[in-house]
Amino acid sequence: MIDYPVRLFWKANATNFCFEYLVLPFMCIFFNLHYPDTKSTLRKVIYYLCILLGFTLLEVQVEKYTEILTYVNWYWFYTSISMLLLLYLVRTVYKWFFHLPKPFSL
Amino acid sequence: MNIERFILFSGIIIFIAAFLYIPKGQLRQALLAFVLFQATTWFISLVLVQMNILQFPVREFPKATGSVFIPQFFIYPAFFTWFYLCLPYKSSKHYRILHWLISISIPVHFAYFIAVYTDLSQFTKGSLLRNLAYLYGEFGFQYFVCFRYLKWFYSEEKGKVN
Repeated sequence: MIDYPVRLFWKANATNFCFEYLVLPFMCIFFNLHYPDTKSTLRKVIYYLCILLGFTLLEVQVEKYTEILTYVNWYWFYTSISMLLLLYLVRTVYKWFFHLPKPFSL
Repeated sequence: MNIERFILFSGIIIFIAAFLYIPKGQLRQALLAFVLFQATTWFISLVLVQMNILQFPVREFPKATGSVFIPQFFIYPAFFTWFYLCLPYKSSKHYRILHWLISISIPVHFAYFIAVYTDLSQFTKGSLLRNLAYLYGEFGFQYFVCFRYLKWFYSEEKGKVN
């Protein structure tokens, strides 16, 4: 579905190790640290949308102008949806781990 | 079913069974230890394959990665999780050293036997004794680093949420 022609550990891995091991975790860390917990639901939805759209835009540009990433059977909104699910899951586990209230809510 | 599939299937079953036996109050500690060790095995296994020290001829996702998935992401982290949960904090120094030695020997000998007797992994260079010493060094290092991180994470600091 996605191909990574140029990558770190090219013999050992067919995926983008830098992205999965460094970029994604740091993104999740800062997403959770700066999450507008005490603000309104609208603010939280806007926060999610800004992060997702910004990331998707960046990924589309990387796909278009570099050989780090190639879409084979993939579209940009698949990235948005999968990132949304991932960020929500990470936030839920984070809230459960630190005994914060309502882990499943926004 | 050949031996490799049997080991992979058993690994999943043992992992699930081990997970069910974790005491409820220690679930978060166990999860953190598990995920932390996964992070180290993931990185180290890719480095070993890239440097052509270790090979994994039979693996679950042959197109996606050069490393096995179930042993690196379930079996070895499960060994470490139980090592961490069963650490004898109140015992004598000798008992604690023995606990470390035995706990590190379990994944080392598991890795050694699957390298020698199955196709799940293969050493590409060096004698078997040298590779055994290498495995002890690798797992010892991983256990030490993860243990130190967990000790820091759960240390009593002012204002820290545990």
